Amino acid sequence: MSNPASEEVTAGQVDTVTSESKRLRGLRVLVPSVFFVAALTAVILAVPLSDIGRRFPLFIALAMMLVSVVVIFQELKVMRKKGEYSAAAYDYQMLTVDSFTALHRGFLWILLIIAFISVVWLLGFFIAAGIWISLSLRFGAGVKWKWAVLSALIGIFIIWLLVSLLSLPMPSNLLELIM
Amino acid sequence: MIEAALEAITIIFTFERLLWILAGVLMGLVLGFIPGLGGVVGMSLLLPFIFGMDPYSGIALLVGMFCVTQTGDSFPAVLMGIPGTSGGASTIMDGYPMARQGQAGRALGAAFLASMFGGIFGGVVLFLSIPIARPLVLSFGSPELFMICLIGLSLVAILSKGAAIKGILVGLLGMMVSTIGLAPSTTDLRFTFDSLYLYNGIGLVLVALGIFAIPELLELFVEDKQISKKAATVEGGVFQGMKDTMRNIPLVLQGSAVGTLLGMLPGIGGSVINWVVYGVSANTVRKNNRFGKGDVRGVIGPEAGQNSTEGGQMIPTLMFGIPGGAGTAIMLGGLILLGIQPGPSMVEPENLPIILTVVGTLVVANIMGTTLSLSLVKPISKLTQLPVRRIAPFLIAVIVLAAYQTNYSWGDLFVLIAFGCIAFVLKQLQWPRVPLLIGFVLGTPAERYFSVSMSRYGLDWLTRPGVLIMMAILVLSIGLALWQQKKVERVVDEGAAHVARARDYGAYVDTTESEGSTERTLRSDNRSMSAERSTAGDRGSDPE
Repeated sequence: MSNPASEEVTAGQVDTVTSESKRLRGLRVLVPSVFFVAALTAVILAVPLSDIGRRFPLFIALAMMLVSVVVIFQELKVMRKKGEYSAAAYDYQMLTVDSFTALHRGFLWILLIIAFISVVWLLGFFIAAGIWISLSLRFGAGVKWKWAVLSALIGIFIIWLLVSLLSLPMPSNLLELIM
Repeated sequence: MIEAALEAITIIFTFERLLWILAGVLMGLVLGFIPGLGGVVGMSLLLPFIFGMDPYSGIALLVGMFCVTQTGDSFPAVLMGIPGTSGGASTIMDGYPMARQGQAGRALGAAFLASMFGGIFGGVVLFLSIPIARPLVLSFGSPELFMICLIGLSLVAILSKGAAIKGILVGLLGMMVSTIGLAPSTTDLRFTFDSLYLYNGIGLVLVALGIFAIPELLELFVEDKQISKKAATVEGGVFQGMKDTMRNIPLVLQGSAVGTLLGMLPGIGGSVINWVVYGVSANTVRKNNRFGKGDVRGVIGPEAGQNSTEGGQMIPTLMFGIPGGAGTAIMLGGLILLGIQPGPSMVEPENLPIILTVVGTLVVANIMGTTLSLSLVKPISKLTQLPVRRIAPFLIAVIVLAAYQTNYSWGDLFVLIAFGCIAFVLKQLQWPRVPLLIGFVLGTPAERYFSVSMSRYGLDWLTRPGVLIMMAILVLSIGLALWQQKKVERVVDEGAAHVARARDYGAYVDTTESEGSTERTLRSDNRSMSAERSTAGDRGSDPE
C-alpha cells in the first residue's frame, strides 16, 4: 500500500538521505550513552535523599541504566553489521532532508529562537515578535520584504488582541525598566 | 446516573458552553486541515490559556478541539493526498483517487458523515462503559493502579514500532523528569540544582510544547519540500457521499467498533488504528477490487473508526488517569489544570457529571464539526493550500508567549527550548518522542501509588492476585514489543547480508547499486510501515 503523497519523493532523494545518514552513526551510540550518564547522575543525586524521597527516582534511574546499556549494545551490533537502521521509531522523519542536515539546520533555527527570546528580554515581546516574524518570513520562507513586514504587523495585532482579551501577563524587558 | 446525565445536559446546553465548544471545533478544524500541525500541537498551545477557566467551559474548549481535528484532516487527505494528521492517512488510499476522478465532493461528504457517526459511537461507548467499568475501577487499590501505570507506559513502548526498547528508555526519562522538584510527603528537593524555579517541578505545558510543537515547526523551516500544491476542486457530490455513508451503515458501525475498542488500549494511536480499520474494511466488504483505487467504502470505514477512537481513548484516560497517546496525555494535563483529577475518583457519584459532560461535548462537537465541514466545503478546501511554512514564525511567537504563561518566569522559556532540542534530536535520530510525554504524565501518579503501596503493604503488594495478573500483562506487552523489534532487526540483518553478498561478487558498480537498493528496500519497508506519516504534511504528531 503506497501512499500517493509519498510518491512525490524520488528514489534519488531517498538515496541521498540514506547515504548521508551514515554520518549519524556515532550519534546513535551517543544518545543512549547520554541517557546512561543522566541516569547515573540521578542515582548519585538521589542517594543522599530520605528513603521516601529517593525510592522512586532510584527505581527509575536503575531501570534507565539497565535499558540504556541494552540499547548501546544494540546500536553497536547494528553498526558492526553496517546496518543503517537499528530500530527506527514509528515517529517518522523527513524524507527530503537527511537527518544530519536536518539537525544542522534545526539547531541554527533553535539559535535564532534563542536570539528571539533574548530580544524579547531586551526590547519586549511585541517589538521582538515583529522583528522575528518579518525576518524569518523574509529569509526562512522567502517572502518579499513588504509582505513579510505586513504579515508581521497583522500577526502582532492578532497576538495583541489575544493578550488584551485574556489579560495575559507579558515577560518584563530591559527597555521597559530603563524607560 | 440519570440525574448526573441531566445535570451534564444542563451544563452543556448553555450559550456560553456551546460557544466554547464552537471555538474549540473551529480551532480543531483549522488545525486538522493544515498539514503539518494537528490536534496535539494545537492542544499543547491551548493549555496555558485555559488555566483559571471555569472547568466545564475548559472541557468544552479542549474536547471540542480534540475530537474534530480528525474530521478536518479529511480535507488535505482527499484534496491533496496529504494526511492532515497521522490518523487520517488511510483516507488518502481511496479519497485521493476519488478526488482525481472528479469525485472530491462525494469523498468529503462520505468522510464527514462517517466521522460524525464514528464520533457519536465513541461517545455512546464511553457513556455505556461507565456502569461496566465503575465496579472494576473501584475495586483497584494502589498496587493495581501502580501496575496499570507501568502497563500504560509499556504499551506506549509498543507504539514505538520496532523501537520498543528505545520507547521504554524515553518513557523512563519522562518519569524521571516528573520527579524533579519537591518530593511528595517529604522535604527533599530532587534534582533542582538549587534553582528556585525547579522547586515546583516542570510544567506539563512546557513538556508538551517542547516535545511536539517545537520539532514540528522546526521541520517546517528545515525541510526543502513544499507541502502545498494545487488541490483538487470540489464540484458538488457532497450529498451523494452522504447517501453513500447512509447506505453503508454496517461498515460505519464496524469501523466505529474497531476504532473504539482499539482506542481503549493505551499506546495504540490513531495512526495505527486508522490502518487497522482500513484493513478490516477492505477484507469484510463485498467486491473490494476497487479498494485503493477510489472506492468510497475505503473512506467511510476508516473515517468512522478514526473519530470513534477518541471515545475509546477517553475511557482509560478519565477512569484510570492513563492516557493512551499524546493527545489524551495533553487532555489529561488540561483537566488537571482545570482542577479535575482524572482517575478512579471520576466514577464517584459526585464526579459523574464531569464524565458525562465530556461525553455530551464529544457528541455535540462531532455534530458541530460535521455540520461546519459540510456547509463550508468550498471555502475550507481553498484554505488547505495555505503555506504552513509562512505560519510557522507566527506560531513560534505564540508558543513563546504561551510557554511564559506557565509560571510567568524566564525559566519557562529555557525549559521549552531544552525540551524542544531534546525532542528534535530524538525525532531526527528516529527515537520515539511520545513515550517521553506519557512517562512524564504517568510519573506523578505512579510515584504516589508506589509510595502508598510500599508504606501500606511493604513488599507484600507484589503477591496480590490483581498485581500478578497485571505483571503477566506487562511481561506479555514487553515481550511483544521485543518480538516486534527483533523483526525489524532481522530486516536490517538481511539488508546488511545482501550488501555483503553483493560486495563478495566484486563488481563495484553493482555493489553501489545493491547498497542503494538495500537501503531503499529498508527505507521503503519503513515507509510502508509508516506510510501514514511519511509525507511532509504528516509530521507524525500523533500517536494520539
